[in-house]
Amino acid sequence: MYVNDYLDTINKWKHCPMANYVCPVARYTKLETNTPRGLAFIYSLIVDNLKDIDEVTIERIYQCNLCRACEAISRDDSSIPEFILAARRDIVEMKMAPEPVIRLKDDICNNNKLCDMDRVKDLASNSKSTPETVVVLNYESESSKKIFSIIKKLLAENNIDCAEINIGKYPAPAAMLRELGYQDLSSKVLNNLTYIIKNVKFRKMVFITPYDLELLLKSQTVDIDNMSQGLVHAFEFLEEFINEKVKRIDKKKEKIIYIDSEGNRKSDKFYEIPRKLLIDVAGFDIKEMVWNKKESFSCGGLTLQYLYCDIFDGIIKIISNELKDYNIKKVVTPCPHCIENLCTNPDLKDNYEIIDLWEALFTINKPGG
Amino acid sequence: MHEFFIERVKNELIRIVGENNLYISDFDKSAYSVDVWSVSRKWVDKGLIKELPDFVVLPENVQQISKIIKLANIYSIPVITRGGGAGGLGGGIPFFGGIVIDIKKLDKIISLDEKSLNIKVQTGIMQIDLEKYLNSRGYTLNHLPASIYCSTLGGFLSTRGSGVLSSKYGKIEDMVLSLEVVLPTGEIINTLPVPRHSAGPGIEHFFIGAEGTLGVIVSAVLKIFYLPEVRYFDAYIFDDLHLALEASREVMINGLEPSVLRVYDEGDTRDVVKKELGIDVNNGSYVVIGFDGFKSIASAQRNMAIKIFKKYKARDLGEKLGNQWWENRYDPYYPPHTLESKRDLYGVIDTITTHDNIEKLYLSMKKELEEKFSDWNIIFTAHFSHWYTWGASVYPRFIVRKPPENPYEFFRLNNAIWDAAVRVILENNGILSEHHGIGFHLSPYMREQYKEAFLVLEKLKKGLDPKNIMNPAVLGFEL
Ligand SMILES: Cc1cc2nc3c(=O)[nH]c(=O)nc-3n(C[C@H](O)[C@H](O)[C@H](O)COP(=O)(O)OP(=O)(O)OC[C@H]3O[C@@H](n4cnc5c(N)ncnc54)[C@H](O)[C@@H]3O)c2cc1C
Ligand code: SF4
Repeated sequence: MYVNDYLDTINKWKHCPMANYVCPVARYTKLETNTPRGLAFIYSLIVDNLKDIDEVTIERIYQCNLCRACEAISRDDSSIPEFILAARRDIVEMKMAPEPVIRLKDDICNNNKLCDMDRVKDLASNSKSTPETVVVLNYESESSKKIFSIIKKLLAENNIDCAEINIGKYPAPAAMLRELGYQDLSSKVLNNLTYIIKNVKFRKMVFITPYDLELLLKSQTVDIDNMSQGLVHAFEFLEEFINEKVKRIDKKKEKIIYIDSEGNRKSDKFYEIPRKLLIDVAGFDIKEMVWNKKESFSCGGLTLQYLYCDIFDGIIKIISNELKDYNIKKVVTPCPHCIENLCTNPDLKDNYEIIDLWEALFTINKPGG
Repeated sequence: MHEFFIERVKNELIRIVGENNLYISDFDKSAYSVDVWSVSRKWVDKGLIKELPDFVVLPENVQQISKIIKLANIYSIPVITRGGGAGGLGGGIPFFGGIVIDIKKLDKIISLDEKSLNIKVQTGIMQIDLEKYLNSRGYTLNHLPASIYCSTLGGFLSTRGSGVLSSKYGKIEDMVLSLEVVLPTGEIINTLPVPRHSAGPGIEHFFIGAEGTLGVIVSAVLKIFYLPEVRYFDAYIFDDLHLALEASREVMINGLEPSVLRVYDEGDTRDVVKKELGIDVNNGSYVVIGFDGFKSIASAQRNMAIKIFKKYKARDLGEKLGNQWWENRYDPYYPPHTLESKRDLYGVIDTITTHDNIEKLYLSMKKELEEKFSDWNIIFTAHFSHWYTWGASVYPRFIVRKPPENPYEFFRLNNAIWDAAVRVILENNGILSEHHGIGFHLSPYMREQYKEAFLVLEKLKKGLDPKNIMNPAVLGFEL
């Protein structure tokens, strides 16, 4: 059992309620077995052979949003989400994955080019990029399309060649498959991604969402060492671009609300970049959401909306309720996937302008110099 | 309960709260069969969970709670109210099955009165959410317990909880203006809108500290404060505990209103302060003292306190260490620091008494436990963290690093240690608990504590809860 590697984590947390409050799922359902303590507790009954795993436990394990908020406030390196991932791997191997999980896995595999080597080879061979091109790894969505068009325009203004590789329907297939417990499929996607990295020419490869990049850089099995310098997350690239090419951005003392992205984790080295850009560079007056920073709340995550949409909707509704308090209509979050998640709520979609960093900096504030 | 009967109650509960708010799977119920009482946790570790509730419900409004309780009365089913499940004395364990009402969906802020500075709020709210809501508007409740992150307002009201600023702002009961309560027979009542009056006894006090035995507290009006202009924290070390206690008493009786006053005994000074807060001090008694409010007033109070401390030859360790305590104060409650995660047998026997008894009580308990349980290499330390003009609380902690593996022996040893400690408390005019409540564990001592006066509580219980369904087995009430 993969979960056996996490017995220490389970033992540490199964009696400790101090992480319960950050858990977006538990904040919505209020149910003890959705909390980090509750999850560790019920799973301890299974690993200690006191109870047999059943449908309800599996449901609770898949209801975790893997947002890593509980990990971020942990005082040591014990990680509830890593234990959940291991438990899901076991569940998949035991062939006990719930129906919606299997359906989503199939949909990702069918609708994402990175899942299939033939399509990956096509993507690579169709690329017209040169060693000077900035290649943007994008997926099919309104918000990511918008961001790409801004990037493209800005790069063109600076005579930098730019190309897009569109991977398909989902933003981060490797991370999503891993979340579902299909580690082998996830590794396969990473290998296919490596094929693209090795066979496409680029100066920089920009990942529009951070999830798969993060996995790739941490992966023990794929070898991209000598190319990893050129792989960047979208707002790392944005920071670099501003430092190198944009001499001045008009300061605008406008009030905006800033929502931490779930993909932008507190432990990441680029966690503070969006704030730096919004405040120092663009001069925005930002109002932080209550759960931002150390105790970041979740935008709804990668897979939860397909598995337990009631919980997903509930989480977004909590965000929407908080926003009502502030009387500010412009919301910035540094990830297109978060924008899509937030816009599933009609109230948010209709009453707020929810935009990404690129839009905040370059459509509201035109680049100067 | 017979299966047919379970099915009948289940259907009626579904009619009240809806299918989505009722949980009956074994796993869900198991997680509601324990709180953080170390014995209950040891019990489940060993596979001995026996006391499962029959139903877990998460009502969405007060009317639903009222209907659930009326239903429970019809069938004489126990009702256990559950907040964050962080109570430390087994008060929320469904020993006799029944219905666990998890109250956390009642978490709404009802109104904020910025003129009279009070807030009306439902009691299922997590304390941290309430505090963050207030902070974002420039206010605070000034109730900052270590479990702010895992307990509900209702839990604190039901156990008369204390936060780290209690020496200035009081305990949770001092913050209550009025309460809304669902009685054990299902009626919904409100206490008078303000607590200071002469229209009879304040009946809100029947419910504060009642640990769910006299009803479910569903909302409360609480006083709030402006966030302070300044917060000062200073650290000192005294040559010994006696000097530290005397100096602290003098600060209190002179009305200097420190927001924080924490006196650590020699053991805590060495162990807790050094290991857990990463602060390097060797011996003596470590003290953190804090003042807050307007700068001019807080500075004046601080200067007066410094004078008193100097008189007792306190060494100033500086603001940095004081601030470090404030910044890191929650760290000891997270793994890997928690005693639970180390599998120790431990207990915190918080008690309170008047200044004239405090040192005697502490020394007697230390002597009694260290001598009686020397075979178990018991470690006994304490700090004194909630101060009043008339007395202070002692927060003793015992640890047995190698407790018996057998859960029954573990339970017996735990009981023997507590029993010895409780005897010392009762002999020295102490109270069984300052802020953790009584729960199941201390329940047998309540009659001894109250003597004849327990009759008042008993009559209250019988009158309000004739079927004895609300949280049976806690607070000393008969079954
Ligand atoms: C790490 C840690 C640190 C702690 N630090 C402190 C501290 O600094 N100060 C302090 O005071 N306590 C502290 N405690 C103890 C604990 O937080 C308190 O006892 C708290 O009151 C429990 O609240 P809860 O919401 O977790 O309640 P629960 O454990 O769910 O319930 C406690 C009792 O209250 C009853 N109850 C709960 N809600 C209601 C309601 N609405 N109406 C009627 N009855 C109700 C329950 O039936 C039960 O008897 C700490 C606990 C932990 C685990
Ligand atoms: S990873 Fe997120 S959703 Fe999962 S238990 Fe931790 S806080 Fe909850």
